Amino acid sequence: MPTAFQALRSAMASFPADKQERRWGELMADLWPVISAPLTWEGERLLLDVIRFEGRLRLAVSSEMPHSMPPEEMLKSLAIQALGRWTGLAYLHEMKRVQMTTPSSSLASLVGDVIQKAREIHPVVQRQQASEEIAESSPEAALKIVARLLEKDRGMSFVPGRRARVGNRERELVC
Amino acid sequence: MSSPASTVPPPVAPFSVYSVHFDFPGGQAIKLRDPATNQFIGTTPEWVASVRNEMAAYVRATRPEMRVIFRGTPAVNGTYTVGADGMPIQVDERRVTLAFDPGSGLSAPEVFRANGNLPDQIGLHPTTLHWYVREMPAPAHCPPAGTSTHLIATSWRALATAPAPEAGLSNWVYRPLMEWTCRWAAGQNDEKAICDAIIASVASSGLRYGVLGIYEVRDLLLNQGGMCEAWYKTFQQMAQCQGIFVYRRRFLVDWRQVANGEVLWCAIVIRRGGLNQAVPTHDASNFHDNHVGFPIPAGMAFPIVNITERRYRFWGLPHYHYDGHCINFLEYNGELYLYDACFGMGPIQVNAPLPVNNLNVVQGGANLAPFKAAYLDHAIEYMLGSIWNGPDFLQSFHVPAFLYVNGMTVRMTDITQVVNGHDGLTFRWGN
Repeated sequence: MPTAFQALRSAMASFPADKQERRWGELMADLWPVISAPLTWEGERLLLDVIRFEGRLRLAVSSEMPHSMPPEEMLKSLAIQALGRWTGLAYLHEMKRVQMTTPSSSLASLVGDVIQKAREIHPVVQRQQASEEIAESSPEAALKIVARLLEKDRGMSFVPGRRARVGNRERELVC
Repeated sequence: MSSPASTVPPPVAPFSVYSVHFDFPGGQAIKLRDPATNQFIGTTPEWVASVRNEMAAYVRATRPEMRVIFRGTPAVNGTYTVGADGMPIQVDERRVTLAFDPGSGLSAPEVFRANGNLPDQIGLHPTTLHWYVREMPAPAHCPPAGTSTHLIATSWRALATAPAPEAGLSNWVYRPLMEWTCRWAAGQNDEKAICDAIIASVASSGLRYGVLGIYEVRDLLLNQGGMCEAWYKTFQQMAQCQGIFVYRRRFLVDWRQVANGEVLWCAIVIRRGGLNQAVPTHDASNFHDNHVGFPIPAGMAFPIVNITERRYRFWGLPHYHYDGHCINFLEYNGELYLYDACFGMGPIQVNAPLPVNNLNVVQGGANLAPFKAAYLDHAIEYMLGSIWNGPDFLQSFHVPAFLYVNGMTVRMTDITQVVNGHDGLTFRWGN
């Protein structure tokens, strides 16, 4: 049974289940439903995985690939734009991390533009940008300790991407 | 009958030159990288007898220093006065104490200095140095100590750096770019003349536009070409070699849906193959060309030419900054000049300020007009849109399945500043 975002996750996988190179169009067909509508929890996770991806995509070279930016950077660009579009500055920390660490000046510049636009559009609610290391027990291996970044919002701690939903997302937008 | 000539050969030095190192730590050479290995060429001596001979580069009129190793035997360890004759530079004589390693036969490196400056112009200079040992004051014969041959490039200025807030540049360049630009711009002495010379000769590099999947300078050099991202970086580094900063800019398709459901525009469409490419490398697809005019008056339908052929398509994406084309700009004497290395175009004077690197800003209509008139009307044949033609809606789309379908292609020259009360053409600028 095919899993969600199969092409995209396969292209990003270090040890993919199959050795098949994916087409750019397949990846975009996976991504488009995620970024063209308000984000679901799974979609948000996918976008975070995309912007944290540091490898090379397993892609077949074709003319449908982007031309003004490498595919890896284009995916991150779209993921960051989507996070900015649908969650405002909720992932400002992640956005800034990409902006500061990417070797691509084009991507770094785009992230700055996304942050600027999100600041202009979304209401400003000061949020503490504190993060700390926590340890949690992985459900897959009870003995394995997994370190995760913990974010805080209005006194509540949450693992990025696992924050409880509220009815009106716009009210959740903070910076 | 003449007396027999002497058969005694002139004496030679008891050692010979083994290596010459220009880009040694503390030297003045420009740092060059080999694209094949991605290592600095000057990590080891550029010239090693019978083993290696790589180019070195300096800013013009530099008086270079070089680190030299000699080969001999411990039996001839001693103090010698060593120098070199040659062209276009000679090497100052220097008294050195040489001790040769019993195993390798090599001396410790000694730093020598040219006795004059390299040529005061951009160029490539085949250089020969005849090393010798001076035993007696001139003009007495000096025993030769071997010959080294070099290719020395002289650039116009030190490697360019980027002005804030533009993206920074490396403090090194790839060797082929330095070699090519010193050849193409030889004798030029002006920012624009140098950039003009580079763009005029870039095709002679053999590098191509349209090599899919190539986005970086090194990959472009290794694969003999690349797409526009690789090319605007490469042209920037070519200019950087000569100490000139050119800006990088991307203009991205602004997917703009208007009131009647039309989309102006979905993609940039180019028919020409680009640098050293006879035809575009994109797959052929079916286009519906409007060669009559634009906008199409309400209720009217223009004849459409259907044609299947290879064309470059740079697509936009609804609500997102996606793809476009990459070019370079030079600011010179208060004027702005555009260079499009992908298509070997330039210089093109644009009577407008440098586009601001901000994807949140839409540039269109009158603000885009100087750029359109100077460049777009000549470089980009068509824009692809979703457009009504009488009762027919020729829709361009690729979402959601990313199977690319062409709507109507409109000639760039037919797109007016204002279409139905809105900007006829808009782009967003990034770097």
